[in-house]
Amino acid sequence: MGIQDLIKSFFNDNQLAELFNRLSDNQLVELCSKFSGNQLVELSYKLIEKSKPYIKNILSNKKSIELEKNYKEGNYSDAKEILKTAIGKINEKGKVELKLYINKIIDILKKGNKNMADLADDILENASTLVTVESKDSYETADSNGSNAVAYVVIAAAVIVIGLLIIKQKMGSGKKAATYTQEDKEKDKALLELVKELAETYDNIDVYLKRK
Amino acid sequence: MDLLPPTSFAAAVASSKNTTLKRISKIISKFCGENDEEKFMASCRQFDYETTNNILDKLVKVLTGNDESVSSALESFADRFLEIQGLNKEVFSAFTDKEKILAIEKYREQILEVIDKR
Repeated sequence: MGIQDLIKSFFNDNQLAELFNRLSDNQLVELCSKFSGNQLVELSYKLIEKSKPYIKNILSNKKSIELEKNYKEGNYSDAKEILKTAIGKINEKGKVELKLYINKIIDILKKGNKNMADLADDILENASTLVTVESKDSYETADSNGSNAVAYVVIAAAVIVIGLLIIKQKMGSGKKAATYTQEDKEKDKALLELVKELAETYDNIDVYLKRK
Repeated sequence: MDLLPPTSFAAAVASSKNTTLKRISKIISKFCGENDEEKFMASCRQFDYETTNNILDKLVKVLTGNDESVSSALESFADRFLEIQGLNKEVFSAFTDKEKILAIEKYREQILEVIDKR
């Protein structure tokens, strides 16, 4: 199964999966390799945390809190469902514009800033400049400041980051195929066996050193 | 980077049960071949800890598919289980390979559950 297929099966929704259409499998792998899983989790969290003032126009307070909680607890499938509801509120013209923003977001991510808080700030700052006067009209619920439009860009960024997380989750270091084979399973279990033995060995070292 | 510094491994061998080494050697045999298994056991007997460590490093890299450092290989392993809250963070923030190993061991049961569900 290719990465695009994996994304489609995870999102189970063309609107969200289409956000990745402009990127090849190789580009997605390259993007994934720029970040550790931990960094992506942190980036997702920072994005949601920093975009609260915008997102509250689109999602109810309850849903915003749920979204943040899901990211924090690693429940990405539940987070995805909330993002799906938000993206679903955009009209057709807005969706076309959103796809154009995706390239800009990818460009920012490609820089691979080591500080996730700064990267989230970059995305938010750029989201504001990306929203044009015309695009404000593309969103059914856009207000005069265009803050809803900004929120959609941020939500799209969150969808991309969650997509990258899913890819990483499936391919580990970003170098393996996006499938989990019987051989992978055996290797993972063998590594756990090795870890168990080495952990015991380290205990022995500590006991040995204390004895000396 | 060595998984276990030679002096530490010497201490481990001195205090480990022979069964521990045999269990490790079985994994080596399955994933790196009988030649490396024999080298591993011989290096332990001959106190050639450089060879012992090289084989252990090779094994970790073969099992994770990450051919960079042991540290990076252990991190990439943790990266595969992002649904387990805390695992990835603990392994990435661990300073030494020993701490990374112990962090993974702490989540052993949860990792096995995820593996079996996949």
